[in-house]
Amino acid sequence: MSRLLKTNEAGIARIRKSIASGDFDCYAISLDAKAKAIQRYSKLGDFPTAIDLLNDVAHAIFKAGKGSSGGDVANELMATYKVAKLEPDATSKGRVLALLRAFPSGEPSRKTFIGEIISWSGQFGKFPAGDPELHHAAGSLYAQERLVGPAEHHLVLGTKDSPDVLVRLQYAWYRKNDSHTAPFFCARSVLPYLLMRNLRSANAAYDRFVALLTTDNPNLGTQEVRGSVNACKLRVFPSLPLLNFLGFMLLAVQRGTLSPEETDQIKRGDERLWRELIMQYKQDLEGLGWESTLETIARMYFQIEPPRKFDMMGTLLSQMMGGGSRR
Amino acid sequence: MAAAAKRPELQFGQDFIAKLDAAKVTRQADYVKDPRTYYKGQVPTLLPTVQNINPPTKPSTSSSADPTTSSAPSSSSSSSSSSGPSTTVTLSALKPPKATHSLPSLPLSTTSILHLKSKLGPLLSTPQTRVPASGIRILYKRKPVSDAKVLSEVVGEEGVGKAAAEGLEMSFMVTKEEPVVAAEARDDGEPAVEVPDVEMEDSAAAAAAATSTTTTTSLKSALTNGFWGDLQEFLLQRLKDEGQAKEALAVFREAVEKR
Repeated sequence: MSRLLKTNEAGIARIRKSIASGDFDCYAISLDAKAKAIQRYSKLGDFPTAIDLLNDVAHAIFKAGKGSSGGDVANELMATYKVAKLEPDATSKGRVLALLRAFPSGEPSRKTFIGEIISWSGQFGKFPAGDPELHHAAGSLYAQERLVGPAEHHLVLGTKDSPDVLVRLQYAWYRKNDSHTAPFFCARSVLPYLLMRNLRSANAAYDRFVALLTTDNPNLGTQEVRGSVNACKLRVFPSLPLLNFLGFMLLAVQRGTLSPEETDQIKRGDERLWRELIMQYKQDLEGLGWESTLETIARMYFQIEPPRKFDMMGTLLSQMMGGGSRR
Repeated sequence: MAAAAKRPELQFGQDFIAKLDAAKVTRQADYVKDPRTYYKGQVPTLLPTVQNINPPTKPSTSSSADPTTSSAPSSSSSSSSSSGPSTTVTLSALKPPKATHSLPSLPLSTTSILHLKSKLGPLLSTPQTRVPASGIRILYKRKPVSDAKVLSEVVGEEGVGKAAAEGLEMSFMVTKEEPVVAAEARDDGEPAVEVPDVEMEDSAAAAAAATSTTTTTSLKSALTNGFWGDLQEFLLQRLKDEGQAKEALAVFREAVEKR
């Protein structure tokens, strides 16, 4: 056993010497490092040394400009994290974040790496859907590269700093389009946050977007409406109805009915608010493809069940099963 | 409520805000469902892409960020592969004893706060005590900043240029110091020190020992005589050399005694 340790030590020392000298073949050293690391933990039970080696070699290869080999080693590192059942903490997360930022942009294996760090943090940490800080970092990186889909995905699951990054991305995108399209871009941040039951980020995103819009267009007509009792208020944009819809919706959901998941006591809200809002903007909402999103929000925040659709298959099935409760 | 004509925005707005104002608030504006209760592998629902919309622009050239899109997210750090602009961070102690440390040439877009801490730790350590990264708190404009953030995120997009030109001022607090322990310097890579890692068959224990340096309040009392006997047996089995096993055992025992 000690002989194995000696050869492993020697192998690692050799790898470290090559990366220190800067003279190495990226592909060969990636294979070598992976083999030595696996041997180190599987045969010798030493995870920390294996992890350090993979980390340093991945950085060295990235520095040498070989993204694919570096990504390969980085993904091996994540595999090792999982075998080691390493918990996400400042050190383990810091290491993967530094590696994530070292990836050359556009390197295909980075996507795998991001998937791996999220699933690792979900599996061994407190956040089943992935650590918010890791989501935020990944989303910010995608936002820098204007990859809207993946940026939205991760930033919606991110931290309280995420709405700002997401809105800046949407706003930059909006500026390439007609001025009347502003609400669509604002909604791309606000609605997904609402669907995650994250009212704080939905509000932050809305406020940020409106602030960018108004500083950018000082001549845009707006008027503040304000309640007389509790000073509930909103800035209304006569030329952008759907933006007002979003603003009013954010105020309305604060006055909805709490779900059993949120509270033990029943706290009934006023669902007429929701119905009136939807009625007012019915025409504006047509053809946007927001129906299911809004139905979900109505159920989530007002406990309003969507109207039952005629479902032939379901009716038939329930009749065949003999116990359908058709109403 | 006739479906025909839609009420004008302002008229509806004044009316609706009065109703909102009168309704009782059931949820606070900063309500958040605890993300720890999201389910495993949860994927957020995003909106479908709007039709007839120009696609988002990719950052035009890799060399320099488009100067016209000032609202682009961290536009100055768009080249994530290269280091981008760098800065010098000056860290001053918030509490006495007074101390100021300068860390030069840190790339703004890739230097995390954790990295600062790990650089600062050794500077604060003395022969008797060491300061782990987890024992430092770093503040920017009097507010603590989290480990995962990079410098460009801390200063915001507007601050990147200024930080690159003039440097960055931050402060720090030491919240935890530890006595120096001989066997802890795993980083040195000396074979004699590497031996303890080999023993840690249990991966969880190995991970815990490597990542956390604060575990040992009652370690000594937890390791009763029976433990050392078991360990010796294990080492002997593992190393197949009585001398080495005894030596390793002595190293462990000494390390635990010293804590």
